[in-house]
Amino acid sequence: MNEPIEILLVEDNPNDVELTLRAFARQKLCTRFQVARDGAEALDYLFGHGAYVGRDLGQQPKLVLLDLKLPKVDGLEVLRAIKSDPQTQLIPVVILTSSSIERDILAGYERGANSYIVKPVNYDQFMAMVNALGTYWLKFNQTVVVAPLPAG
Amino acid sequence: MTAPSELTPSVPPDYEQLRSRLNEVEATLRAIRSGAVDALVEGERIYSLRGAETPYRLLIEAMGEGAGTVTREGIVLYANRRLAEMLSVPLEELIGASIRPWVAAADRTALDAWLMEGARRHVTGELNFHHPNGELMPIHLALSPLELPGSPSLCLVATDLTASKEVEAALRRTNRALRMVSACDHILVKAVDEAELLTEICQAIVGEGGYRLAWVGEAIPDAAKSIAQRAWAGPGQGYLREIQVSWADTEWGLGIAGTAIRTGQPLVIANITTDPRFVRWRDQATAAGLATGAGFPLPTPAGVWGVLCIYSEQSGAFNAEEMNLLTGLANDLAYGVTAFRLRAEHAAAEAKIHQLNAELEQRVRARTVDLEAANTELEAFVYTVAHDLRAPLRSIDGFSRILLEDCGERLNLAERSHLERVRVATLHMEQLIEGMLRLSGLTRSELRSTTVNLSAQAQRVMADLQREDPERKVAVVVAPDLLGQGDPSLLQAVLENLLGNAWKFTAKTAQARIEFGCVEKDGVPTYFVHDNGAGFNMAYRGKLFGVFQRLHRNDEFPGTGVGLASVQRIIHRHHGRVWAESDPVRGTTFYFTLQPALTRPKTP
Repeated sequence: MNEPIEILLVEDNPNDVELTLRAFARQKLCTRFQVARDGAEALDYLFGHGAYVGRDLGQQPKLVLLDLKLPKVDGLEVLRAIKSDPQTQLIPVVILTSSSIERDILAGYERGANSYIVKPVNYDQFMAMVNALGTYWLKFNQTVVVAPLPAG
Repeated sequence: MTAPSELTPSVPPDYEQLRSRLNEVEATLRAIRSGAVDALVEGERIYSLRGAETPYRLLIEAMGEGAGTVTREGIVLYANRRLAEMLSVPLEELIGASIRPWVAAADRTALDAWLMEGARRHVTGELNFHHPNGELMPIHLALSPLELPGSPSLCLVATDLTASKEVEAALRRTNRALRMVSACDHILVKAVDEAELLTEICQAIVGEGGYRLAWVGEAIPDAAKSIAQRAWAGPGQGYLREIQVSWADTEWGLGIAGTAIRTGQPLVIANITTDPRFVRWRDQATAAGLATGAGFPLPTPAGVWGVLCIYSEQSGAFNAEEMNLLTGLANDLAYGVTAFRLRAEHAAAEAKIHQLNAELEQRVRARTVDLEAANTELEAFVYTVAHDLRAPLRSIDGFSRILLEDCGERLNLAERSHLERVRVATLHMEQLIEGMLRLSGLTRSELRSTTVNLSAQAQRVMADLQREDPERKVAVVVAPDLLGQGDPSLLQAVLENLLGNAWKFTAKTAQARIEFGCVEKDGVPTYFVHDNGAGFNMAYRGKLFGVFQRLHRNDEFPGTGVGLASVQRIIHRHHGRVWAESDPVRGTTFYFTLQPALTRPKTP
C-alpha cells in the first residue's frame, strides 16, 4: 500500500462501494482506492486529521468520487471544504449519487464540482459509466500537484 | 254724520208754525235724498228726478259698486244703496255726512289728497273701509270731477276688493306651494342620504312654502306606538320639544301626526285653538304661534312609514289645492325615504356578501395553502422514496449480475433463468421509479403558459417515433396549425404519451393509422389523438388515468402505467379535461382540452 492512491471514494453504502471497486477493477482502470465511509472521514484523510494525522499531504488522490447523502458531514459540505482550501481545491471532484434532483445538481456545480453523475441502477450501464469515468479522469485528464504547506 | 237740528223746548209759541214747516221740509228733503219720493211740487215749481236723470239713477242703484257724489271735503251729497251697505250704515244717515269716519285711520290722509286731486281730474287708489265685524274691507276707489252748480263736487265709485283680495291671496299661496314643491323635487333628486333629505325638505317647506313649522316623524312599532322626530325646520320648532305624540288610538294619537299615521289619510286641523282633537297640544301650539296644522301620511309599500306635519300661523291655511300639492309631496318624500332605506338594505346585504366572500376566500386560501403544503410534502416524499429505492435496486441488479459473471458456469439453466428474472424485475422496477419521478416532476415544475403549435409538436413526435422504429408503416394525419395555450414542454409530454401510446397499440395492426386533430365540444376546442389499434375495454376506462393502472398485460403491450397518469396531471394543471373512447371497430380516441368547458360537459 505504499503506492499513492488514485481515487478517494466517499460512499457510505457498502454495496455501492463493492460494486464501484469491482467495476474499476474489472475495467483495469484503478485498484488504488481510499474509501471513506462518511464525510468526516473524507475530510480527515484529505487534510491529515484524526486517524490520518501524519499522512503525506503531498500525495493527494487524482480524483474524488463523492456521494451526496453521507453520515456526519454531508457531501456538499465535503465539497465546499475541498474547494475552499488551496491545498485541495484543484483535486477533481465528481459527484456520484442517486439523486437527480435539480437542486442537488445545481448546488454541486455551485460549490465547484467538476462533474455530476447519477449512478445508473442497471449494472451494464453502471459498468459503462465507470469505464467512461475512469478513462476520462485517470487516463486523459491532466492534474496539477500542489505542494503541501509546511506543517504547523 | 248729520245731526238734525235740535229744537230747544224754550222756543216761543209763535215759532211753532215755522218749526212745523221746517220739519215738513226736512222730511221731504230726506225722502228725496233717500229716493222715497221722486218729485216735489212746491207752488208752481216742480222738482223732479224723472225724465233725463231717471235712467242714470236706476243704473247707479243697480250697480255692484258703491257710488255717490261727494264734496271736496268728503261730505256725501248722494250715495247709492250699495255704498251704504258697504259701510253698513242707513242710506239716509250717510247722505250729508262725511265719508272720512268710515275710512281706516291710516288711509285718511291719502283720502284727503285724492279728494283734492279728484276735483281736478280722474284719480284711483286703494284704501280700507271699516267693516262692522271689526275687520278691514279693501276698497278700490275712483274719483272724478263733477261739474255741478255751486261748489265743485266729485263722483265716487268704491269697489269691494275683499273677494278678489282673497282670490289673490289664495293664488299667492298656491304659487308659494308650487315653488315649495319644486324646491322639494330638486332636494329629492339630489339628496344623498335620508337625514339630509328629510331636513332639507322641512327647510324647503318652511322657507319656500312660508309655513311656521314642518317636521317628519317616523312611526315606531314599539308598544307605545311612539313617533320619532326625524327632522324639523321653522321658527315654531320649539313646539316639538314640548310635545308628546303617539300613533296609538289614544288621546295622544288624536293630533295630526298620530291620525295621519293611523288612518293613512291626510288630516287638517283648521283651528288649533278650538278643535277638541288638539286640546292636548293647544297651549304649546299657541305659544309657538301655530294656528293651523296638517298631517300627511308617508306611505311605503310596507305600510305607513311616518308622517309629514306642517303648521301655519294663518287661519284658513291649507286649501284644497295646497292639500293636493302637499299630499303629492308627502308621497314623493315617502318614495325617497323608501329608496334610501332600500339602498341601505342593499348596501348592507352587499357588505354581508362581501364579508362572506372574503371569509370564504380566506378559508379557500388557507385550505389551498394547507393543501399545497401537504402536496409538496407528499411530492417530496415520493421523490425521496423513489431516489432511495434506486440504491437497493442497484445492489440487487449488480450482485445478481456479479453472481452470473462469477458463477455462471456452475449454475444450471433454471438457476441462471431465476437470476435473469431477478434482473428483469429490477429493470421493470427501475422504470416504475423513473415514471414516479417524472410524474412528481410534472406536478412540481412551474407552469409557463404560452401559445404552442401543437401540430408542429405532433409532427416532431411522430417523426421521432418513426426514426426509432423505421420498419413500421403507419399512416399519420396531423391537422395543420393547431394552436393551444399552455406550457410547451408539458404539452410536448402529453403528445409524446398519447401519440406514443397510439404508436404502441397499433404495433399489431395492419394498415395502422394515427390522427391528431381538433373538434369543438361543449364550446371549447377539443384536441384528439385517434388510432385504429388495439383499443381498451370501456368498462375499465375509469382506471385508464390512474397511476400504475394498466389495461393490458405486460406481455401484450409493455408499459408502466405512468404515461396516462402524467397526461391527466398535465391537462388538469391546464384546467382542461382528458377522456377517452374506444370501440373495436372505430378504434380509440383520446380527447383533451386546455381550458374549462363553457357549458357543463355531458361526458363524465
